[in-house]
Amino acid sequence: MIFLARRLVFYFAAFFLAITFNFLIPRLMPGDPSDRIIASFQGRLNEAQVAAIRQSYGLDGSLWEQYLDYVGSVFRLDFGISTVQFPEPTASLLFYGATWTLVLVGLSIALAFVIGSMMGIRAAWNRGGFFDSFFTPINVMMNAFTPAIVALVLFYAFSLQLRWFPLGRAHDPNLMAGFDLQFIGSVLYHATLPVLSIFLVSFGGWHLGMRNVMINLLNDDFVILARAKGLSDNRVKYRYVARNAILPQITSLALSVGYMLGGALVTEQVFNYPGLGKFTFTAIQSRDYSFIQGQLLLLTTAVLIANLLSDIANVILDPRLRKG
Amino acid sequence: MTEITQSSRYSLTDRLDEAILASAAPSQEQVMKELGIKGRPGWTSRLPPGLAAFATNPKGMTGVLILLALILFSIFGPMMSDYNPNRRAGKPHVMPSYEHVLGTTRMGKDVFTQLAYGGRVSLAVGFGAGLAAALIGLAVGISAGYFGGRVDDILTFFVNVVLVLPGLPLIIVIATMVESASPWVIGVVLAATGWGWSARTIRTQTLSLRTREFVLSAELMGERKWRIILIEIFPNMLSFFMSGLVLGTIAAILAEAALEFIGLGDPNAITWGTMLFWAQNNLALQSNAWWEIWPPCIAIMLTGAALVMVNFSVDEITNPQLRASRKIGLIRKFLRSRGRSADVF
Amino acid sequence: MKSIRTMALLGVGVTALAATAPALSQDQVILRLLPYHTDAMVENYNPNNPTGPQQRMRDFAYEPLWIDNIWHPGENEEALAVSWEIGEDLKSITYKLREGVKWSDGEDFNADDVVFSYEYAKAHPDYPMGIDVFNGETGNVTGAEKIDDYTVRFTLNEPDALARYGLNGLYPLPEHVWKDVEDPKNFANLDVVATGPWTKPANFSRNGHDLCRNELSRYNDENAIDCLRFPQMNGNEQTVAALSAGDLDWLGDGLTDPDVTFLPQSEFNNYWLPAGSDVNLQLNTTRAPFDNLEFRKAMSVAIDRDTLLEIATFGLTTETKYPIGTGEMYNTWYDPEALEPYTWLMQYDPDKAMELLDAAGFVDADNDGWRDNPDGTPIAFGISMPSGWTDWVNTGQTVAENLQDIGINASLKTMDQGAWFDAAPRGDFDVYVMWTNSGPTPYNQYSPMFNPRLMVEGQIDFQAMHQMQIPEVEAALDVFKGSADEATQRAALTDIHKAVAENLPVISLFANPVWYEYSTRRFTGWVTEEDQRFRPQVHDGTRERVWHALSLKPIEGAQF
Repeated sequence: MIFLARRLVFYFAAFFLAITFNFLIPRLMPGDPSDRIIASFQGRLNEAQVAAIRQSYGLDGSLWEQYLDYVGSVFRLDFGISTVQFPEPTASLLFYGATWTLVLVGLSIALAFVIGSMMGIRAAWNRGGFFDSFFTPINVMMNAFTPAIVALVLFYAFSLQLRWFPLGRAHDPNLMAGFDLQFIGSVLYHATLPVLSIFLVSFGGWHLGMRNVMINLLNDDFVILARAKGLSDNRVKYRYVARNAILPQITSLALSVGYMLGGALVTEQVFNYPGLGKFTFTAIQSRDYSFIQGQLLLLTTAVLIANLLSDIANVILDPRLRKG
Repeated sequence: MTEITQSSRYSLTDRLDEAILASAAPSQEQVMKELGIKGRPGWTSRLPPGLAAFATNPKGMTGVLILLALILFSIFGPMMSDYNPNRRAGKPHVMPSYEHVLGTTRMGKDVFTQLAYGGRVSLAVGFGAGLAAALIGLAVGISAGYFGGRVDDILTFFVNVVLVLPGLPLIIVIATMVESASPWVIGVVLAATGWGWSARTIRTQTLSLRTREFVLSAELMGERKWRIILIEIFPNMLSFFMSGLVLGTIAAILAEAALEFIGLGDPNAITWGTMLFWAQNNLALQSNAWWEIWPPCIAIMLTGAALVMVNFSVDEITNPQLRASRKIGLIRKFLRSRGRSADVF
Repeated sequence: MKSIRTMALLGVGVTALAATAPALSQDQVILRLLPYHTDAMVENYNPNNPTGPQQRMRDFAYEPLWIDNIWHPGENEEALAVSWEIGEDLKSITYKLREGVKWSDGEDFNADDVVFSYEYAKAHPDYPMGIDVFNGETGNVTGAEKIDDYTVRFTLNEPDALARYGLNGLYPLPEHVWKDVEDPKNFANLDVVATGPWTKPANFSRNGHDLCRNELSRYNDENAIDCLRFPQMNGNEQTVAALSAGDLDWLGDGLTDPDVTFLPQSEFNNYWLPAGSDVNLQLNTTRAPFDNLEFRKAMSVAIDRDTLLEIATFGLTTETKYPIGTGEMYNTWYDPEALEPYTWLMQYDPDKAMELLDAAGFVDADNDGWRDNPDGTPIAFGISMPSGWTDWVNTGQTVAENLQDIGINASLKTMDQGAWFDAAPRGDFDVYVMWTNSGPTPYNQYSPMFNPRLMVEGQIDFQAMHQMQIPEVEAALDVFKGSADEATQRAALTDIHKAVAENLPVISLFANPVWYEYSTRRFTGWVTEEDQRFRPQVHDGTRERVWHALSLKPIEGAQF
């Protein structure tokens, strides 16, 4: 439990660091949101009106005051008003985008992890065989493909040319959101190509990781003992070896969440998928500060939570950690 | 049976195996022939053992050769072409032909020339950022692992923070803070955010090495700390460092290409990533101008694949059990055919 | 492996289900149009919210006082006003309003609503209703007076013959609804009360919404379209693909190589790009070497505009004949004789450019291969550009190449779009490629270009980036504004043209195309090159778009 407590302390510290960094970033970027608004009035404002606009963006007051304000607003879950989609609150756009990114990234990670690990287990068990010597190098090399090009090629081939899959979006725009089979089906259908493009460039990593860890484990005495006692191959493979091999993989899983959330950006652009990455890109170009800040914070929090969950999972699965 | 290594655990079952094998053993030549093993030691036996192992590894060598080819192409390619990669060299979207080996872009610039000049920047920035990240990771990892205590706590905190911050969005935000992110700026940012993973693995490895006898004895003898780090610990770290270097380079090259592809790089610069950006913006795929988009794409993929193969071989050398070579497969088949357990491999 | 197989089967089954999903009821005639790009639709129907809702609600739901037919002035222009009259002293305009118009909730439309709209704009200066209210320092409209139930008179601070153009574009708000709205900027206006042909929002989701028929509108009988559908889309590739696939009917996005990438995608794809407003190089004349007239002339002559037209902008732009900062859009206002002596400035002649530079003292003093200022300081500057705008980046690169050929160290300076927008008002640049405004008369282009108020650092307008104040132009603009006589206006404009050509504060490059794409899959009646009834754009700012929508008729048997 001490292990968990130490990790929690770390996560809080990291969270505050993220908030501070978040606060500083837009103020370090060249330009100022109120400049843009003032310019749009094309000289029709007088002095008093210009000052009023600057004040409404919270750009008055000392840096420390602004910082305290910002920390307070974060804990109130008040992410401000979006300037691009004025006057829509940033929070509603953030959560809309986050939901879809979660769907996309969640599906991709789940698929990549499961399929990659299964292939890794098979490769480790029959190492040197055909499966291993063919698939391992190929899968890992696919990891080195540029996700942007994979997404583009899939879009061009299957959406534009063959028209097997839709052009983009998260679901059929004519369907209303709900948990019925139709809607879920539409979501899965629209998510196929984006998920595929992320899956192709990531499952090789899981394959290799699982394979390497398992090979190291296969030499341990307990494996020989299990086989000597006559346990079936499958039993040894899954219940004994894979179960131990999963532990380091879970830590990697948590770390890769952060990488995935960012990496989905290009895929979302290509497929017009309404995820966080796509919104972020527009926000950066239009200097929508409240959105940029909200999004960075959300991502960091998500990664921190993912790490916390993996720590908890480690504690549950690995009895050695429970002693501390 | 000189090439077949035996398991280090010499248990009862192994002794029994050996006795049975010995009784039914075919001659050495027969076995070697069956397994396809060459008899004479070659030129590689004169190299230090680590390098020799690397040189005989087919995957590693293929990777190195591909990389070498790409590097040579980037260095000498520009000299082979008269065109200026920045200026119009011919009509737009000319198919690959005698004057333009890889055709021209939408703006009439020669693709081959751009590929060659672009390779210089892409590879330099990629390797540079990878090397920088690996070095930072090495320094941080060894210090954290070796000195322990306060230093370890602080450094680990920073390593964790860097690992936890979402990479690409952060890089994008930083890239927009500078007015126009030249490839070098991108490289610096990538190095500054990419050292977390190798720092972590090196720290773990240092921690485990620290308690080994040769380190303890060096400390007892009064060796200075930095000498211990440099001479005792670092050589054992080499494989992890190499692994981190290779992976970091792959990540840097891909990230740079991705950033430039979405338009955050400097469109004036010529790199493989900006070539992709222009191809995409000029709708090369839709105009059926495949020569504008596939060369930089394939170049990046080849670099990545070559680096992956090098990484593979480094893994295999340090941990021979990971070898996915056909030879091991044959050995296992051989053992199984003789009715013996193949699990020693 | 078995679990993978099961997963795959499940996936296929679900996909099959999705493919048979029925859509919303489709027995209505629906026009799908995309006036702007967005990542997510917001439930906001405020007609004066420039971030998006304005593009959907103006013209289609809320009507203006008057719709100026820019291409055929004088034809069919009444909207909520049926006539206007400018006072003798040019300090007032009287509008006669249309009688018998009802708001969509049944209330009558009359002068009270118009007067209320003016007062409301005055009371909420941060709510951009488009009225040039006089606030003590800027603006011109000082009051709105109700003469009778259907007559309103606006009074002005200074004589202005062109004030009607601004006031024509006033979209009156219903008094009985908006008098209770205290914070118009944040108001979402979910219950739309308007007079236009489509006023009922329906089917809102993040993916788009519909705007359906207003039964009480005077257009109702001739209106063949039941609902307008505004989908959410972002990215030119997506929108063009959507048009080809039948998910859009009317679009206004930039195209690349349309004959190769657009027309072949579908037999129903069509496009037409009439000439739009000019694109200029804005030179920062407060910095050397741009403060030297001969240098500017040399720059203009050194640019190969043919290449710009054919290659840099993919053949989609049109040339401008005269170096006067505006393009073909206003060619009916030109005096070709007066401008003839200046056409040489638009011809590509690098030798002449070098001559001019040599004569003015711009030679290579330090032998580094580049020309320097007459006082010896080196010349090196960047042409600032947002990195995503391909055709402009191509343009900038070509211009930089042309300048390099005559020995000037010019290069392309790309930056992220946000930074590009921000650098302009601060005066933080050397050269910008910049569009010009469009509007009913050339006044709309030259007025912001030479307004000294807009050259103040921190608030520099995009049109005034050159920061050169030319008193003759300001005087001529006043004459133009102060006279209702067309001949006087023309003479004043010719003076302006000559002054610009003489001084070259900006260098004209080419005329941008007006982006207009449409699909003949479901509708006929589109404006085409053969039938140029009015401006065909789908964007806000083109008030004629409501006529365009109303003139579309569904094709027999088309699926909606």
